[in-house]
Amino acid sequence: MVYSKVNKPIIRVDAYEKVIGKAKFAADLYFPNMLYGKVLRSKYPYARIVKIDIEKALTCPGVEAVITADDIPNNEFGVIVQNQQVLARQQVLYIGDGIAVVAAETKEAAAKALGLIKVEYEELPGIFDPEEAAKKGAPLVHSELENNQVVHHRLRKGDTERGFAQAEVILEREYTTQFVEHAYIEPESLVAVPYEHNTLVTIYGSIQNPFSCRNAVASVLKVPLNKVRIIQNHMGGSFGGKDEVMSSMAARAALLALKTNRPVKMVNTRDESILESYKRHPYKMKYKVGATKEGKLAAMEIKCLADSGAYACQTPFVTWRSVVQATGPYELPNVKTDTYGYYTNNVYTGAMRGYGSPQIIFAQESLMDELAEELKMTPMELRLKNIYHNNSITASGQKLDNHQVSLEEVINKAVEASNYKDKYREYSKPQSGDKKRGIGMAISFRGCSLGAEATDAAGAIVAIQRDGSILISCGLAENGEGLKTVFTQIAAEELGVDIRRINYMEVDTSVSPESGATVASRSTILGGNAVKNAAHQLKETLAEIVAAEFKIKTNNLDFKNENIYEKNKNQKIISFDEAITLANQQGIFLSVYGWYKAPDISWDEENGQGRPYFTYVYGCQIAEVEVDTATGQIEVLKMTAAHDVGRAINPACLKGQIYGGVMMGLGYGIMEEVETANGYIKNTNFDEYLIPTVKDMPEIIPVIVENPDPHGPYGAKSIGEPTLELGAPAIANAVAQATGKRIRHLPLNLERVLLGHSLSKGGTKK
Amino acid sequence: MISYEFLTTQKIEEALNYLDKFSKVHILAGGTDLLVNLYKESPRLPDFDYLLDISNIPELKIINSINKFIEIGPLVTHSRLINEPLIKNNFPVLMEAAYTIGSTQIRNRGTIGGNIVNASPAADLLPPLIALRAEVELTSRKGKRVLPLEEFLAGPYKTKLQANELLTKIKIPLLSDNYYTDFQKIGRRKALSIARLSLALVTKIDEEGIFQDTRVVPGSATPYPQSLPVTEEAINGISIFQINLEEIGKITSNEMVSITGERWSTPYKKPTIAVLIKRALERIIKEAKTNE
Repeated sequence: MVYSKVNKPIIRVDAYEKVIGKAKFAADLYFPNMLYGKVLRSKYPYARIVKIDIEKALTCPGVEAVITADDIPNNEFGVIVQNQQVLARQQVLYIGDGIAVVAAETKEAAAKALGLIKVEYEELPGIFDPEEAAKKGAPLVHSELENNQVVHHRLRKGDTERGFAQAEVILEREYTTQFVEHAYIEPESLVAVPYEHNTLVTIYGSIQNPFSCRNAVASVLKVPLNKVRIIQNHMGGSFGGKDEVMSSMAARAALLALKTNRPVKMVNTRDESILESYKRHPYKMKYKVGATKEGKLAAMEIKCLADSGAYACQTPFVTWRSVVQATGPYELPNVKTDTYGYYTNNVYTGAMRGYGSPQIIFAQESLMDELAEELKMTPMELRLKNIYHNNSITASGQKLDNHQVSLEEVINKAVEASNYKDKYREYSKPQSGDKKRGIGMAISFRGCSLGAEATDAAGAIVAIQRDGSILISCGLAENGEGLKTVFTQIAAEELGVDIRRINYMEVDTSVSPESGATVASRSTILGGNAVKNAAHQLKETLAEIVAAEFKIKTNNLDFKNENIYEKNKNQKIISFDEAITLANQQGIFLSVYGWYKAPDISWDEENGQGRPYFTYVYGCQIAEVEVDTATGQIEVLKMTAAHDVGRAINPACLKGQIYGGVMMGLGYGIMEEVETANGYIKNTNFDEYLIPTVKDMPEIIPVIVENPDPHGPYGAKSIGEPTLELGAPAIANAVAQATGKRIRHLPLNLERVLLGHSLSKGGTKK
Repeated sequence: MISYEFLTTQKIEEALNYLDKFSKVHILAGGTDLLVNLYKESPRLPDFDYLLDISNIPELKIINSINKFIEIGPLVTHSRLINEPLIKNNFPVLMEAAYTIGSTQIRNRGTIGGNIVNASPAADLLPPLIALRAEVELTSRKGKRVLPLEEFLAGPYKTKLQANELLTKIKIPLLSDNYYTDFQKIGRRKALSIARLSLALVTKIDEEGIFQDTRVVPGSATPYPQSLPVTEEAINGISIFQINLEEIGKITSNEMVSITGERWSTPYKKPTIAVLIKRALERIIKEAKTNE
């Protein structure tokens, strides 16, 4: 199939305004009479609030309002479990908990007022280790609960005891991962405007999921959804990070705006952002694997403990993705997996690009390399003996029979593009000098979209205007990944028109169809289908009009190049513009809602069996590194990333996703870590929280593999998260080959590489 | 918020008058340390009422070769150190160190004078400057005094600069042809990286291949950069053909630990400082052998 608009690397539709600086971000917005909001945060990770005295702050010049938990109609919100405090009422549960918010004429006055609020605390001994939290009789983080467990997911397949009994080699290993920060370039920011356009409050902001934010604000204010309007601004990055933390900020700003009857702007500093915002879950993982001497996997037993921090947030679903994917893409007759989330008084954890996969893939792909070494096989051989193919049965008992299972293909393409085999042989030989090279691979399968987490559907409006120009609005939100461009291409392809006809509108919750959250790498596959469905309906409407007018059968019409053709004669009948005029004259309505509901899935929570996802994507990344074995420095020389995306709607945007995801994976692998000590965060700015710079960027070879999926629009599936989840284990495997030493804890920083363990400065408070 | 009066001038004389007339004056040069500290309201900032901006004083931006010295104005940026032929040809070790500082943007603003006066334990220019026996010229309305840089430093983030004094020159004696230099640095990433550990080495190798006048100055190793006399003495007098690098490495490690005691970072720094001195010596020996 040859396409004219999709499968093409067109320029992003929002590139120009961003490049010339015209694009407005939330911090750029100013409204007449606007106030500035600022949050007073906790002094301790865990404490009882004895007393809050706001009297002095209220008399501070320029201060218009001070709000505490007592002023909030419904103080607890959450997407899954409603236990996140908008402001701490009786207890602060982590160091980023807000206690009061101030609205003042200037930022300075707001900051000054914060200093005048007196909070009397009674510090409590907190829990900062999920293993401690899991113990019987452990002190409770949420006193109303029976224990600290957020969730426990189980998966049982076959009989692991019998499997291990049959195994000739058994390995047991423990792996850990760290807290990491999303590090979006734009810190959280928004403006709440009261009583605008017939709503109670309108919020303009850097909001990843406008509908989740609306739900939270409406529930906090105890008002109907149609009284709250969220309009998304351009986003300076999100990566899963601008969900609950933005809902909380939006609720606080809305309360202040309604109390003062004035617009309220809130913009976090970087320190405030790192202190308050949720992180990627640290995991402690125990893996046990059994295999035959020939390298056929017989059984796997997995136990993962996730640190949920103070709130449930996304932990129930993050650990669910982990339970489904924990074995990796390997055929296993016997599997027993348990994933747990526990409350602690650490910073809370939530969605971050990968969502429960980067942790388990680090463990399972490290484990596969360790097993290969034990079996005296190459990592590639061992993988090829066990990977999923068409009709393989997953650990969840799902038969992969409705799409091309392309693991072998992505491995082979990555191997070829990276010259893996030669390099693996070369680096296996003894190397002289301190600097030693290694090459490592990691592979994954990943369920597309939400799976059994939640209802999975999306909608879009495509509206052809009187002059033939087109508006698109979808409930899924541009987060910087290129969604607007991809959806525009899909509509243009379907209608056979030029990209320039189309104007893509920002998400406005009072207009756009609610489509769930922009998460789980689901936009292209879900939203793309909704846009395609809307455009297709319009095409059929137009086809009927044209067919009637020219006495041609509708199925003999072809929409392309801004015209409508008679297919069998390949002859132009009428231009698109003329067809629109015709429809207008006939009083035909040319705006439609498109809708797409994902195919049915199933899940048995008791045994972790069913069809958790309706389709999967497959990827393989190969890292080549040079390790300075005398100083512990790692240089990543080259990353090769092969991903089956079904169909690349925009190969340029797709490569952008690969470059970005690889770099985030590299940071996760070798340098990033939010360091905590007894609940305090030690590195709250980018001078100490290190992310890779452009100088750390290796050569990256993207390999796009296309096996169109029957469910995807033009066959397209997912790319956002798969790109991130493979970098750290590929690098860890390469480092192990180079040094001969296995590091089972992320990140692979200087100390771990040189000494085998990390060092801590000690001390707690900033 | 920290509040202050802002003073600016284009003349040294006027700057000195301000320093004389007002008390609690803090000096602004490139601002790469100061502005961050102001924003953070860092406890490291001294109490001050005036900020004196000297960045527009042209005389402080000059690089000159005078009487066997290279004189560098304190406002010379790191970028200029990298690109200036006088530095490149005479003190490649200073150029190499300057190149590892921050990012292009920081190197374009940050100055050699600021790096010295801020006196961070991790300051990238201090090890090479001390190793080059740099001197600082301090000027006040009462006159000038010149101090060896190593003596000028008084502790972590502390110098002997008086309240009425301005750093007006950095003077580095030219090295004769048989001197060799090297700079090593370990960071956690390739740019915008504060030295985890660094080391500058300046040494003479005579016609017989014997080390003389060796200067070894590590960064981020001791409370503030200082030379390692025991290591230096251990190297002096030894031939490049006979030197035992392992042993020198051990001496350097032990000397560092004798200064700092066992700290949280010692398990990492003790072996790696040995690596840095070995690598610096290896590179110099190789260069010396090629020159023969």
